[in-house]
Amino acid sequence: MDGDTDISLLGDDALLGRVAAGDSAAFAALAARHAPKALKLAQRVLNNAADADEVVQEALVRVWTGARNWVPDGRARFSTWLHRVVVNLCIDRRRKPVHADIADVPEPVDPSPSAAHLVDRRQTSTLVAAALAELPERQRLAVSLCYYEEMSAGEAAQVLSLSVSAVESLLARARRALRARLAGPLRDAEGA
Amino acid sequence: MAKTDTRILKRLIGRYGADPRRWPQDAAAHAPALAERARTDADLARALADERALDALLSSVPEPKVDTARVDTVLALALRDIAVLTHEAARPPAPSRHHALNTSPWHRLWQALGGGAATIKIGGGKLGEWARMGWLAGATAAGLALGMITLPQPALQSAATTAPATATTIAGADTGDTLDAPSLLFSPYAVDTLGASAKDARR
Repeated sequence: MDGDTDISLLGDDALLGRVAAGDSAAFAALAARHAPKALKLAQRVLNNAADADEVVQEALVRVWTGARNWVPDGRARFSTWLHRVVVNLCIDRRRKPVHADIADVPEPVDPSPSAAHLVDRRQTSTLVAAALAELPERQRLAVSLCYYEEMSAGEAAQVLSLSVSAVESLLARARRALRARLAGPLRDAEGA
Repeated sequence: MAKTDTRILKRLIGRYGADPRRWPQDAAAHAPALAERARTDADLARALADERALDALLSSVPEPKVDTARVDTVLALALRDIAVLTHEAARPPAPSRHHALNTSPWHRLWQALGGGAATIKIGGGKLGEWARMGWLAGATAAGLALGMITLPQPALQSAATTAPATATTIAGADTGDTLDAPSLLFSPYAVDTLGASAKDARR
């Protein structure tokens, strides 16, 4: 390969080929390209920036160690694989017993309609974040991937190792649950 | 037909929200029908308003802040972990636990007897095995010889000084098959001595 090639112009598969050969510059370029999205996803799933950083750090180490096994057959995308690793690490982390820092625990919000009248936008977002956090794990992941990361149901299905119809079912159930949990703010929004 | 379309539209907004831009590509063909149908179908219009309000609430959650410094820190820590992994992979293997723990005197004796000798193939055989067997055979022969030299000595000396009758018996035994250790142990002298000791005890 030409040594003068601008690494940042190379595709993911080409960079992974170099990573497999021990090229740390290619690894840095690949990580810089995908880490921001991976961090956002991990933080949405974990609700904690520090935990998200650790998860993505571990996922990047797995990219290095697993690069040799990557087969660039055009069917699988590196970003999908990375997101799958991140999601699995997030699930593992959430299942571990944790002693949360008191500063990370959001203030409890009264979800009654009368209280919702008083909340400003910030409090509303806190309420929505709490409702999202209360969703069952796979429903929350489906919303995070499809709504916030704007993945298609097909991509989310690959990340979650599910069928497309299963992801669509998770999305429908998640939105139903969110509508029920956020009934107060939704009424206020309609009344406004 | 119109009823089916409404059901499809309700299913789409129930999964992907009220914004057709979030719908799957293969569902984009239904997008123009949504606003049109909502004007005439009150049920669909209400469902659309609900989903639009939910979309607005979901959008109120701020996006996690990911700046360059944060990405650089995560990358640097990952590279540190990779360097540690690479260093560990390049390090020669540590001595086995079996080797490290086997420091007992018996193990050292076994080693001295050739137990730990490197196995070298010679003519289809193994030098280590032969060395081990040689040491074992030599050690066994040395042990037997030592036993035969030391065991009869006190008996002969005491016999010569205590009783002539028994001394001749021992002399006879001595001129016989002196290498037969069991015979020496259960010789007539030994039996007589045992009998005399028993008589003395009765007295």
